[in-house]
Amino acid sequence: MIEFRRPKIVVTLHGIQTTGKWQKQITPYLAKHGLIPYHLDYGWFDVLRFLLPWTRNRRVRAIREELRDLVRITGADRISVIAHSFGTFQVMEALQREHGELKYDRVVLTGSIVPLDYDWQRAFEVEQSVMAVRNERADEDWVAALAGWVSQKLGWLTRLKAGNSGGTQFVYTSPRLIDTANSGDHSSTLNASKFERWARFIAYPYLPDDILRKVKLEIQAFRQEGARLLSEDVTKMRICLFAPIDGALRMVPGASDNMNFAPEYDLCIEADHGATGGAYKTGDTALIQKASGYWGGDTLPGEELAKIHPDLSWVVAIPIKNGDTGAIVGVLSLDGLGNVPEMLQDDTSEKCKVALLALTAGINARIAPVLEAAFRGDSLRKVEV
Amino acid sequence: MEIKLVRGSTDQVSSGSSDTVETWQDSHVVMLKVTGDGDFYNPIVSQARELILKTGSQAMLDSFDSTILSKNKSSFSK
Repeated sequence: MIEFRRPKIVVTLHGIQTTGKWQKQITPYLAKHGLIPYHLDYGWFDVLRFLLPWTRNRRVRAIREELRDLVRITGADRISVIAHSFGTFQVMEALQREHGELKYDRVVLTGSIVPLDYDWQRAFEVEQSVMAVRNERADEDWVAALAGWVSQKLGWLTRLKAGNSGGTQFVYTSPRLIDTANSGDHSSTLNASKFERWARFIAYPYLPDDILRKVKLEIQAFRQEGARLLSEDVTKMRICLFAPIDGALRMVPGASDNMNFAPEYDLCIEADHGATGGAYKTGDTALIQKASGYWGGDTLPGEELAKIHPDLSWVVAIPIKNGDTGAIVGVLSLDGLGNVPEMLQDDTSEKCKVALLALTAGINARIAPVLEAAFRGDSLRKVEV
Repeated sequence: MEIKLVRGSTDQVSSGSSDTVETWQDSHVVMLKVTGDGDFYNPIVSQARELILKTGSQAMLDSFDSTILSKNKSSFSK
């Protein structure tokens, strides 16, 4: 079975008074998870040039051009970023100035000097210019604290709008903005154990081996259980996990069972399209059935419909949610070829309601903690399943 | 605890524009909306649990109980 994995490009960017030794050290960790590193190096940038508004702005303009060129040349819809110190300021300032024209997938900030009141809501919800952020802060990061102080006290002179997000939590909170507190100073997090975790975080929803093994076991079992529950022939039932990849819902490679129709591997579903998109957007389990040989209403566009197995007749799309944060980390799509199971045929009936509730609640707590760990970049050892 | 089947998404139902209403009426997508605190005595919940007891596995039952009884209902709805 061939499943298409889209390349993920990871831009790394260092801070001031360094040439970013850690960028070279992180490369094997990124490679291990199938990520393509793109290390930006703007040479030794001293404190004076950082404080002067015109040299600082020139640097931000340069990074915008570099990132635009990267997107143009590679054709990537989104790029991921790992940035340290002044690098965090540059990448987030660049994003803000691009007004949604530039889009990031997953972002790691460490030793961050991004303002504490950065408009994450605009980035997440309005422009949808970032999918998820992991802020690695440290309790003794005096450099980030100093950047915040200079912005507050000497902003009239330096025009600097930075903040101590390397030491303090951002004002805005969201399940997509992961706050990680560490002990140490401005550069303590630049070490091997963090590099592995960041690579896993950025690779999501491509799942590392330990997580994928667990997810596969659960969904294989659930397909069998679903068939028994719906009194359906298990050979006609299929299951796969969808998650946001490049800004749309796509099948997560390896996280499927009995999906053997190759065109479906390249399915691209916008949020609110079909049952899967609807489940992702609303957070509710969705059921769709093929009626009189066609999929009606707010279904997928023709190009995507053409990729679907011709015998597919029904889909139950179950959003997988973290119980604590409410974050939707994926959509499990249980579907069937041939006839619609009797329990689901009348989609206004109590029987249908009972079946959908049993399926939804019967899987969520088994798979949500595992996917949440993957979403955060954690390993399975840290999760109680 | 209220458990409903709603045709189309909430956004579409509540928007009120004529185009949207057409989409909603035409939609083949049905959403399971669960609101309120988990309640084992709710008839739909007890029937669903019974169905799992008859046909499902222990893992499915554990997940069901944990999801229903969870204080935080974000497992069901936003």
